[in-house]
Amino acid sequence: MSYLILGASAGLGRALAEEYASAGFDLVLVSRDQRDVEALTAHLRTRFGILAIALAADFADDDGYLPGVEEALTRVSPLRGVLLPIGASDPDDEIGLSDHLMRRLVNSNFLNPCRLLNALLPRLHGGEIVGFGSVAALRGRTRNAAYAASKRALMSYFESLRHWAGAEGVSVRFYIPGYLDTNLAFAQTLPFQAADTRRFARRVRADSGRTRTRYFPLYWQFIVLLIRSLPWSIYRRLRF
Amino acid sequence: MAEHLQRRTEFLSFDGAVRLTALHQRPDRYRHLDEIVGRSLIARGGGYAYSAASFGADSCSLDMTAFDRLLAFDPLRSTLKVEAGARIIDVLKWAINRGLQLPVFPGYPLVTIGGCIAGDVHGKNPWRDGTFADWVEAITIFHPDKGYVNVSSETDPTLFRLTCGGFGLTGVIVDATLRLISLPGTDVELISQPVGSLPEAVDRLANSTDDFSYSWHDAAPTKNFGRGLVNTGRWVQRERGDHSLRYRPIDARTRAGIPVSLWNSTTVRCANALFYRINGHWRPRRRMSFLEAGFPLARNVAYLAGFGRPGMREIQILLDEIHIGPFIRELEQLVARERPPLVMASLKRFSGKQSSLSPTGMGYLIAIDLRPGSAANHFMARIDDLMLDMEGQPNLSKDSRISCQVAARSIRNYANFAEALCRYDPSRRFASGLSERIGL
Repeated sequence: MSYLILGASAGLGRALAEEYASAGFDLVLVSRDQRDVEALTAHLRTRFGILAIALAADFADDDGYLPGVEEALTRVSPLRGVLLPIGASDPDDEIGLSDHLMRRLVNSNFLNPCRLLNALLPRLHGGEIVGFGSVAALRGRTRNAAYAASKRALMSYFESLRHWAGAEGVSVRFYIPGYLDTNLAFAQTLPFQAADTRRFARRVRADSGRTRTRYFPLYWQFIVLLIRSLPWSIYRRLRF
Repeated sequence: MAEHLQRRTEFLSFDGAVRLTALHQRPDRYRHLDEIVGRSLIARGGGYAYSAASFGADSCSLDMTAFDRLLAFDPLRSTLKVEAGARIIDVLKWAINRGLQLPVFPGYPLVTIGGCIAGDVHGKNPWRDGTFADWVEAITIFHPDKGYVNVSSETDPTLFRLTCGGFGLTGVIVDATLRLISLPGTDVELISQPVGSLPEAVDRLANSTDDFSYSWHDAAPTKNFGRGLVNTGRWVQRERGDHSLRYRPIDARTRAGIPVSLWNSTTVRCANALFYRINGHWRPRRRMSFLEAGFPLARNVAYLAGFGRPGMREIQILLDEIHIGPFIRELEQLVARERPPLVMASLKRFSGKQSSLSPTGMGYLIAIDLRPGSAANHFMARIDDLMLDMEGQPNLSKDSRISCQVAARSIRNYANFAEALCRYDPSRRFASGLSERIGL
């Protein structure tokens, strides 16, 4: 059986690729960073002896990724699941951002992952779909306006997917991670410790077959509850 | 790499002697290397050098540990192409499962491949196996002004030699192709033979034909100074080999976790006597997994952690066969006269043919650990003089304080290295606390 992972070259995507490869699944890894995704597939083949295929595709672009994905999936064992740890943010993502940047962020974080999912749904009977949101999306923030909006849209789409999936025998999971130990978090002073991406990947695989929405680490559920309960007059002063 | 991916980090050398705050970034994609900004850079692996080889006050440290993938294996030639941030233990575990091994690797499992190349580390029998560079076939180096360059001893011998043992001053080591050899056995049988002095250990090591050979010595300034154990090991075959290695990971910061040093003249004397008694008399012959034998430091983390926040000092010097005897005699007299705060010493027979900053030639590598303080500083200055008199060469990765003048006079290839480095990179984009201290 195989998995398709979008945004696989680094961070959580890479951790998921290593976790599923260690369990013996074939993988199709998609990333816009061709050198990294090729290095990762070489690593997974050498280290775990699995079949791994690298596909360089930029999901920020409007089109063009689907034929490559379809072709790659013909070269591996039947598709068991799709993991979408894809995410794109930008330091210029503030209210008033350019059209071009807005389109790229919405394409990467929401539109194109959902379009790809729609195309792959017929292959996923009995399989699983795993999406990843962000705690940044739960209330409008001063920064990351388009990123947060597109992640919130993705979350809503996954809720709809769950309605559909029940009848189709597909498990749908949606994770809302807090801070993760990525190269972005590395450079920031964070109020909470960044979670290990490998531990997160182990959690995701351990949840296989379930349908749920879950925060990671779990304590973010309470932080989010607190932030959501703040009246606007207080929340706006936090400049969160 | 964009500046929003950088932060300021307080770095600490593994011996605890150098502590400073500098820029730090952790690239995890090749494009991050392409986009590097900053005048002065230096690559960083596990951070296990005793000197400030992977950070500097005016340099941005590039943490390369995300580049840790195994890129290609050629089973016919037994070569493995691996990214520089891969840890030696991960490479070895992978190799052992295929009946292969790296003949040379350092004493701690979390050192990276890039660190092994940059420091040109040596293993348990450098006399027979040489140094790490002898097992490197090719290296990919990234330099912001030159891009990615793949070099081997055939395609660009100058750059290859400058990089092996060059402490990262030629650029970022991105990946390397390593030559592996067959694993001769599953386990190692280690025999510890008690010796009464350092010269006796030199004689034993000179006659050793074993697969592993090195010695440990009680260096406390007492009448027992120099007594120790010559450890020799041979491969043995078991039906089911155990390739496990149990250890508690330690880094420069956790090593310095205890606020005071647990080592003082009394505890050092007691611990050395106990170690000598246990390994020399109670269990002189023991069988252990290859990894346990290869990573003695992993099993002795308590020794390193015991130095606590004040840290430790180490001197490691290569002396040729003519000078090792006179050096030890002078050392013994100096210790008897000054009673410095020494802890332990070790000896290895050595052979290396570097043309970079690492020790080169044949002889004996002597390492001495000390408790820090003014007495230690005074003693180390005297040892520097002795090293210069005896034509010894320091191991820079183990020495956090050697001066520019001493380095220039004692490192065989210092002048050639400095000249070749300036010719290769006139803008000198790569610098560290170590390179600044020794005037490079």
